[in-house]
Amino acid sequence: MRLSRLLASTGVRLAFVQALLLITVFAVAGSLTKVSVKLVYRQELHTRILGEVSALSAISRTKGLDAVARVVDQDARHPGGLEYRLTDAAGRAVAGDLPATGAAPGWTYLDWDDEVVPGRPFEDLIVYTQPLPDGSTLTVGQGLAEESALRHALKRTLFWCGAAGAGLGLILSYLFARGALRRIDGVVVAARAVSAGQMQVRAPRRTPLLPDDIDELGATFNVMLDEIATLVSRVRWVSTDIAHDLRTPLTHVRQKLERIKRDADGQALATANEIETDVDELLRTFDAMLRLAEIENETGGPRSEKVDLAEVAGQIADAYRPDIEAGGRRLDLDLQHVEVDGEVDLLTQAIANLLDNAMRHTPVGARIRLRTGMLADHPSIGIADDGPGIPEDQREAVLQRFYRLETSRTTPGSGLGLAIVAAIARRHGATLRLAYAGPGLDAALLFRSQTALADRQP
Amino acid sequence: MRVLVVEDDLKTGAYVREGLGDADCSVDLVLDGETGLVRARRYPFDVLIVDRMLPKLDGLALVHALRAEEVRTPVLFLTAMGAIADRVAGLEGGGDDYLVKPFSMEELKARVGALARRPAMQARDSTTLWVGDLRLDRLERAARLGARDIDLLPLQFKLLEFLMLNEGRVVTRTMLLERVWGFSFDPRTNIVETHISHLRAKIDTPGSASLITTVRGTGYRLRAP
Repeated sequence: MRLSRLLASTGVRLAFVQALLLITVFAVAGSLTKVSVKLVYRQELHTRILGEVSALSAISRTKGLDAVARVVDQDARHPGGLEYRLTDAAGRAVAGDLPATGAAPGWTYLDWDDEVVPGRPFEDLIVYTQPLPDGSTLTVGQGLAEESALRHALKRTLFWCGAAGAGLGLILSYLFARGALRRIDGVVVAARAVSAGQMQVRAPRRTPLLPDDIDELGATFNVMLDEIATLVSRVRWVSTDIAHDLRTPLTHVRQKLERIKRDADGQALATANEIETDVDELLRTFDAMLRLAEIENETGGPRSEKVDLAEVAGQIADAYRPDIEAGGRRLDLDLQHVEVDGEVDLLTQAIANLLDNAMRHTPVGARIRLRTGMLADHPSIGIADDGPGIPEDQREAVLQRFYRLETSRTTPGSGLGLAIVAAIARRHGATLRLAYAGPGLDAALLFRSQTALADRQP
Repeated sequence: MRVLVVEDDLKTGAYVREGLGDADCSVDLVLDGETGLVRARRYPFDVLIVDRMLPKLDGLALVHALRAEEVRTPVLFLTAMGAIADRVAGLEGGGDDYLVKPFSMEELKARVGALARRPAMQARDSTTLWVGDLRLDRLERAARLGARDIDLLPLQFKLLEFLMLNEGRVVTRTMLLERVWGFSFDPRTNIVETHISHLRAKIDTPGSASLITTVRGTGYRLRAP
């Protein structure tokens, strides 16, 4: 299965949207957590520092500066504890490691690095400075390394959880979409086979405990195909039935006519002959209809073989040339060898019908060109003339049964010729293209391109 | 000539019997497949005319059974089943010719006549065909009239060959379309007529009657003058 098709599938697209959503949610959650962790942590830090400051202020009030210095020295030795600086009234450092803040009383931040205390890693600190009643100054602070480590840990955790969630989601939906796509492909393959005439093909059937939407689609599709198959077989039945039921009475009519003709003379014979002509015309149209039905249905089964279009066209040209020339028209050939898979008798009929049209719908002196060869990568047969052509807005319509141009109502013909050609084209997977030949009509049968055929071969 | 007609439609059967009777055939008519098979085994007919859809034993099965027993009597299927596939099945299933209803009596007579002469006709395999002064070399694909070479187009050669193989018998337009042109459909043009007239121009001697005569409303016949 090609990646581009998978990427275009609904499942994978949904998965991408979900992954994007997941990443966004994790990012927002991460920032919010970071902010609230900071808030809570700082709150606690402030309370702790302010508590220490007020405790030491109390000691200074009751026991004097030396007592404070002793406590500070002792407390500062606790690892992970608070940091201090105590200066006397003259501004000399008495205890603690903190560098001079030089700041006014209250909260401030400090950088602490190697230059201040060798061996200590760089760290941000938050400190509180308070003048004591005896004129000395106490500064208490706490490093923020712990807080930032906590924040980083949180960030990492959230990032990896988000990435894993999104990645896992994508992988799961890839697998799921691939499975779904394979099953949809089953339906697509069946649809293509049926439209190519293989009426018996159905979408793959599954009978899971809980059928999903694709199962339902497949089942509905199959029900529809069964219905179409029934209709088609009914149509087939009708046409074979018509064939038998109408041919027998028509045989009788013809038999009686022949008897009448044997005994009749004069006016009666002339009338009998006219009736016979009418019956033959009726039969011809009837045969053309049955032929059309036969070509369109798959009753014949594939009788395909390799056919050289130039060879078939050449034989028909030989057959038609005397007639075309006797009618005062010209037939030019441009036959390049090109092979297609096809049924010779049907291809013969298609070319004959097109030539027949070209003869009947062009004025005396017209030039008819029959060509075979490759046309834009497609094996093709083309018949062009320089007659009046078919107006562009009626080119679709002439392919319909019994459709006749206003200008050709008086020329003989069943009105089924082009419909039969179109049906033969469809049966061969080819298209019948009617174009302007500048002037005249250019009718071409375009078969599937060889490369497309080669692609289909495993 | 003895002909067996196996046909369940009595009217058509009677019509065939009457029509072929006029052409000096003695016609046996039976109305179902089983009787047809029994009759065809027992008596030496020249031609069998068999419907495809028959009671008791269908036409295809009948012919199949006969061929399995080495009965080689030529068979003409006369049937309403006119699809290409039916025709192919009939001819591949042992039939020698296939005529779709409704048919004209002249068409039927011509085809029966062509079939009846078949087994005796060694000409089918001979390399040279003669009709009067007209000589056709089938290996060289060359034609001569007396001492004169006739230059024929491939299709004209095929047409003349078919007419010579059926020398003295009427061949219909439909037979020519089927056998010479290989058409399984009826083109609405005069291609047969035009080709015949071109062929006549090549093989006839000016001033004398044509070798190919037109049988009005039926077809053509090639005969030595």
